[in-house]
Amino acid sequence: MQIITRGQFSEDDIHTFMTEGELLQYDKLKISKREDWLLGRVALKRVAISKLSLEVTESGIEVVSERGGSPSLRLILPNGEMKMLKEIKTALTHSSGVAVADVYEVAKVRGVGLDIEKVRKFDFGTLLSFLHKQEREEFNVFDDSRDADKLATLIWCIKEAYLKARGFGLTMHPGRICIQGNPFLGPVKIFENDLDAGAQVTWTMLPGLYILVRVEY
Amino acid sequence: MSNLDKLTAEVVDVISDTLKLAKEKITNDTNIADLTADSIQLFELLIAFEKHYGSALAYDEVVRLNTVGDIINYAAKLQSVPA
Repeated sequence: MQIITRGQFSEDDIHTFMTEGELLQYDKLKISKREDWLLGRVALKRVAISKLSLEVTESGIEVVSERGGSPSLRLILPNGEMKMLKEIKTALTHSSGVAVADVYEVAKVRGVGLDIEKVRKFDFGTLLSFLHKQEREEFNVFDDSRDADKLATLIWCIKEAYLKARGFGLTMHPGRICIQGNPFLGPVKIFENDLDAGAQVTWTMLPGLYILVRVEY
Repeated sequence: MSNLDKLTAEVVDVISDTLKLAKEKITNDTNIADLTADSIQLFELLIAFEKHYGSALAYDEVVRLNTVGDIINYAAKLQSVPA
């Protein structure tokens, strides 16, 4: 996994690590979306170079956006031709100046999903909507405390990371996923349609009250 | 005001109220992803539509739409309002 935070590189150097295609895409983005997009691209390129032992610079890999899914990667060969890395999948998340990325081989892992969020207070209706009925009974997320906010944010992150790992994203309602076990106290199980998904969940707190979750299934 | 204009105003109201955005920033061509800061805001918007319109504007359908105009057209079709 690669974590990149605001300030680790200058946007003035963007030409040194982005391809022409990526620069065109960057220019089309709303200004408010540009920083996180850039951090995510750099994190993904760096983790790909490192984990796949690629002998290229960051501008020698293009991150290709895929509608409704995690991006794909393609290598830019010395002769200018492009080669899709079809056997490699990516996982990516970003939030307000922090981006985290990972790559994995499709032959070895069915799916990986990442999610990062800053701890926040959810309004009551949002909580009710994304929590499964059993979770509403099991988890103490409704009181007015920092711990309740942390737990609610963590549950959201686990669900979103799982839905990304499955390739659904938010097209599947997070309320259909049920987490059993308090993630603050030990391992958890993820249930989809009442079946144990067999997913492995890891999480960590990052400076600035960010929660980072990785789900592999 | 036509029924479509009323529906458009209603959809813009839901977006503006949920995301705390000025209505002027919301046009038919606006991409929903550009309006929301993150996935949680997107989710909040989706459930706001469901709450406002009931199951007619169900989460599973609206989540696949891209622009404000798409949502208006979808709602118009459901309510048999000529687009």
